[in-house]
Amino acid sequence: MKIITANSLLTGAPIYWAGTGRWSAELSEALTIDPADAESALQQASAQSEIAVNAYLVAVEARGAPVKREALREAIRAHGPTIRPDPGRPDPGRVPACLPDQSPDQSPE
Amino acid sequence: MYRYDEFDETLVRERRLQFADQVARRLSGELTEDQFKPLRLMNGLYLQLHAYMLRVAIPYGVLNSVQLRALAGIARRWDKDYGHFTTRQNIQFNWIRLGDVPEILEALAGVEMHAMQTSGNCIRNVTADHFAGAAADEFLDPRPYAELIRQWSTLHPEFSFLPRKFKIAVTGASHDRAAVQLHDIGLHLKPGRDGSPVFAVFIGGGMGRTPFVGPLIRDELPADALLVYLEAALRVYNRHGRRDNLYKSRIKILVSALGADRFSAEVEAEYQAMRTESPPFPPEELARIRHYFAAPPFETLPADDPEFQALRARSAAFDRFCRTNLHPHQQPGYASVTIALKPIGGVPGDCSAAEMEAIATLAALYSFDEIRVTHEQNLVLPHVREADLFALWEALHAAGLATPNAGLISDIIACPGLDYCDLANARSIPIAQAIAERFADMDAALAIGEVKIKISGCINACGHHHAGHIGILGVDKQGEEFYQIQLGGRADEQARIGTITGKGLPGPEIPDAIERVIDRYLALRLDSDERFIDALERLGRTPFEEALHHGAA
Repeated sequence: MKIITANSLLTGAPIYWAGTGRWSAELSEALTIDPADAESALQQASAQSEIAVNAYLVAVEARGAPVKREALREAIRAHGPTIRPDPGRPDPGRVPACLPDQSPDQSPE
Repeated sequence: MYRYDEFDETLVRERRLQFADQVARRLSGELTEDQFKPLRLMNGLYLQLHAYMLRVAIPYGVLNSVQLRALAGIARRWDKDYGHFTTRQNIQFNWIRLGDVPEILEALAGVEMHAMQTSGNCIRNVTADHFAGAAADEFLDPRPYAELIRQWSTLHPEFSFLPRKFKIAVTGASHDRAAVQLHDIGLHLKPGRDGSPVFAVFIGGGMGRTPFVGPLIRDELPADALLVYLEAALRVYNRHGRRDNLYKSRIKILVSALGADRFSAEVEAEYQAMRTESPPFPPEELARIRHYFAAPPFETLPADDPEFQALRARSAAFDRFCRTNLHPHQQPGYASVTIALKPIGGVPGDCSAAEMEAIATLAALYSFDEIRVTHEQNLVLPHVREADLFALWEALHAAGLATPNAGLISDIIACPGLDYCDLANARSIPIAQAIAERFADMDAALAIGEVKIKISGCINACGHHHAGHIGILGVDKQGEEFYQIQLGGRADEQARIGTITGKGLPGPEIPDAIERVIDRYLALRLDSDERFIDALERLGRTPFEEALHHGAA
């Protein structure tokens, strides 16, 4: 399955295509798309250039979580940097820690 | 430091208004993203993983306290309360909204700053020795020449659409702290045979996918011929540089393909032809610029302030700081102070708004209002009286800015990596943090001595991994982060590209691997004066590579 993500034109923040005409800031609200329909959906989403910049497809598992190469990158996009939870977005704990002894919610300084 | 004249002011104002209009037209839909993207990049505005990133130019890394306060203000009002100082001596703001950019540029212009030419295929912000005008080993202050290059290259119509970006670095000291041989053009200002200033010109250095140490293309170039010669070199590049292949478009590829001798001959022919029609820049213009970089009103002081020495003897912590974070000054009784933005567990180069304001206050009090940004992602107060060092250290300590690790193993360069950067394949910052935490004991780190670790999250090498004594490159292997380790790189006057060792290691194994290399070094060094890089060069990399990959201490 696929989802469509992009950056918000106004803020640059990651956004997710939630169906015709609708974008969400939450990965969990991304519409999962059958691969056969993905290209046409991407065309539709890309047409909304007043909202979304650089729209692209991401492969996801059945429950909507990105897989393969994109998994870490998309997790960081969705949840914020793994090293400074303060400026990130909610639930940094969902981002895989790089190092086993590193707690993602530890204060950097 | 340099102050804008009416030309600078007009140029920055007009460019700001032009970009504000372009932003408005993008937001209204009048401009498409394809039309807008090159325009925003020309103004230093990137789109990264989480937000827009604005890269602000800090010419040759020189700031005054008003400018640093303005950067703090931008961090506080339009970002998330911090900025990130980069290996290009610039600052990046990571959390910018598009609609705020015109106001931010207005705030920057108010303190004679901008974000032009921090991106795009043009001559980028010129970098310089961060101890320029202060270092004891300096022949001549390179900043007037750096400023001359800034004025010449700003919006230069012939060089606004080069095959690829172009970076120039300048030093005027015998020890190269500006990595000049790893730039597209590196300039070393030195005395000529008759004592007058000349440049050694290195062209075609660089890191990235295809790293090269730049060959010496012209020795003893008369300093007053600098701009004509640079123009000749850029013309040869503009004419022959490849535009058909992004990966072969930097000048280093051209110099390598032609060979240094042939490239040098081409530039020389162009230079000789141009000399007849383009006279050297007017000496009065250089004199005008040089006036802005006149030494501050130093006091005549004894070389070793007795009170300073007594305080060092009394406070072990102060003495500890002085051993690593001071640099010898050309003026007796003064020192340059490195404020390491490398607290253990922190993010290399990050600086909060409150920290910037604290440093601005201390620069005004103790360093003739000057601050420098280093390519090693630290800040410097260049001119501090020895008699003021204790008070300065106490204030830095109170602000959490007195980490005594400048030049030590935890003073790590790291690019933003996959935590922020759209181009990255792997994270850099957590690796830097884990290594710094492993070597958090400052006395142990001091006993180890100088080790330069540099980390990049992709092959573009913003974290200078090719030039690290230990270089670390993050790679993506089927969705997992791995880190290739290089040994033996250096960015000084004996610049060298590090050699890749063995296969990549997963992130969690890196601190142990680095510790094994350091243990091997401690076991093999002749004495505590033999630095890591010296031991590596004396012994070859085999024993260290063995320790790295086979775990045999």
